[in-house]
Amino acid sequence: MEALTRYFGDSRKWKDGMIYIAIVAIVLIFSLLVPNFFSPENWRAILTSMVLVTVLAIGITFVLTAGEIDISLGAVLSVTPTIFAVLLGKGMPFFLALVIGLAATLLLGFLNGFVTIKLGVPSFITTLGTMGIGMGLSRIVANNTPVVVRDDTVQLLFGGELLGMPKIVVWMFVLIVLSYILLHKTRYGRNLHNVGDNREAAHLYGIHVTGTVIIAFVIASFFAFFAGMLEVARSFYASPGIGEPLMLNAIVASVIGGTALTGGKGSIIGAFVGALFLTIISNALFSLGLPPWISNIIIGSVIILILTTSGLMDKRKHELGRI
Amino acid sequence: MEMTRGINSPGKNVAGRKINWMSQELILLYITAAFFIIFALTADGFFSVNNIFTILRSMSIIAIIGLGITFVITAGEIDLSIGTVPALGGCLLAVLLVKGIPLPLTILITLCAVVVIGFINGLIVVKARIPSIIITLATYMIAQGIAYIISNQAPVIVTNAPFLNLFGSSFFGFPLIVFWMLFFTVVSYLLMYKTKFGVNLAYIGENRSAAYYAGINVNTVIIIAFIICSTFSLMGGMLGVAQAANATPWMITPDLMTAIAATLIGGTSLAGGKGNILGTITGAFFLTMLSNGLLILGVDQWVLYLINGVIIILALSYSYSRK
Repeated sequence: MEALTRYFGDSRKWKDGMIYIAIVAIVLIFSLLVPNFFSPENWRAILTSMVLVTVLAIGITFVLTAGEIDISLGAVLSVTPTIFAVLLGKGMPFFLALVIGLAATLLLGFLNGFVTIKLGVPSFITTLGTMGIGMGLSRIVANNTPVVVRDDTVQLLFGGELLGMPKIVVWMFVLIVLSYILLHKTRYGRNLHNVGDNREAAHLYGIHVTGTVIIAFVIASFFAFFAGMLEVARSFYASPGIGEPLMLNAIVASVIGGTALTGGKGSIIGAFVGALFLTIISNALFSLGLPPWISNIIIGSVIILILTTSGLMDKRKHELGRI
Repeated sequence: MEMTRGINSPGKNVAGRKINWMSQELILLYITAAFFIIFALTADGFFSVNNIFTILRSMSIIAIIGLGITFVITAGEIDLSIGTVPALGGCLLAVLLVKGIPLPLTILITLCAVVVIGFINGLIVVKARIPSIIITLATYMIAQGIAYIISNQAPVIVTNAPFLNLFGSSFFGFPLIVFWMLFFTVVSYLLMYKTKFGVNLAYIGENRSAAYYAGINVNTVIIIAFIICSTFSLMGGMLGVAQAANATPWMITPDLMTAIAATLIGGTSLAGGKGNILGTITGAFFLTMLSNGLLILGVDQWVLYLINGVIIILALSYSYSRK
């Protein structure tokens, strides 16, 4: 396999580069069209509005690297915040409410991993199920209305500013660094790549495949939890359903950033760049007074363009056939 | 993950005509019957001709879209664009009708538009060999954007009497939408089980390489499956427009996951090779009946999300874990 890759030239690298070319092109076009595109205020707005998608995209990247998919994260995002907010409203101490909320979210992540790897249900179906559970659970807990959260500790941790940057943006970068280390610099990250690349080989090599995949799902749900808490700090509300529309964008961000849907290849930086790309487009369209749904057409076309070109160039896949 | 598929698929009568009484589709039938009896005994007004027709009417669109995606899933692919193609088709149809274009021509133009979408989906999937989930997500976004643009983000009222009569009215008390569902069920059944296309499709889903070496034109069959899927989506969209007498760019999108869930719990395997037309209809009936019965019992709409999620996980864990 490696010899083949070398023989046909490593088109993967070129493929990864495409998103960067696309983003530079988009930035150039918009900087000409949009007044004040490079102003600090505008970049602050871009960074602030990309936080949730980025954090979710990082979570998905772990699952995609394992060769699975998780479409539940957007719905699961609201589970911890609603449980946390309702318990807090009942007078429970901050820490206990947070731990109970976090436990519920991590349990859903564990359920995803367990059902997928132990029972052999395709992860698309498993997470379709947990998506329903997340949607229902958060609405039931919050009685389908946003719950106000005015908690000093939440604001101390995630709200306000640090060094002139909103703290949620700082947290985003902290999470990027931590997940980068976890995915690219640790034994777990290496195992995860191997499991995603070739599960059989990873097993023969002595990697605990089941554990590795389940942990990937739990990590993903942890990032959904984090995204949910950042949203609470930003908006002062725990709103059921707030993350559901973000799900598709998060998957798109991860995939156009170079993470392979087939597993074995994850990129945290790519997820960040992908999210940045999506946010710049919607930000610029908003500044230009264009309707937001045009961004869907642009994003969809860019996905097709990037992936089709790289797919057609990927001769190795043609040689070896599908699957 | 998918290595064991197809060898001992439950429900396939390989040796003789012995019926597997515990196959997934029959179990779904038992559960449906059980819930039907429970609701008939507990929910006032559930077991009446009126309410049965309500269930049949509200399941029709989900069932038709579910039938369409059954073909794609049988080929081992997936089509998410069914979430927005109905809205695009519906909006295009409504706008053309409002402009005074005759009904046959309108339907023809709309049909061409969605066939092109299906063709693009299929072509990119077979030529660039990109996972269909991401390509159809891209076309999902593009179709959504176009639907918003042509409808100008507002409902388009349809007053064309022939159209409303053909798709939205009743015939001696029998709603035509139900007739169309039955019609498409028969068409799908014949296509899937009685034509060469259907047989080839199942082979391709089972083992693409083997199908290729057996002389099946794999690419064409897959492209046709995608075209069938988007055509059925258009039919769902047209029925939706006829029901509401208007077209909105956001209609039917929430039914995407319900349609996929109906197909999957009906016994169509996400791994490909096993399409189940009657299972999809049963699945659509079951999910619609469940929400109808629970709503009569006074259960909140959002509790249904949770119940649906649990059912998807339980039903499919059962069927996959036995393989």
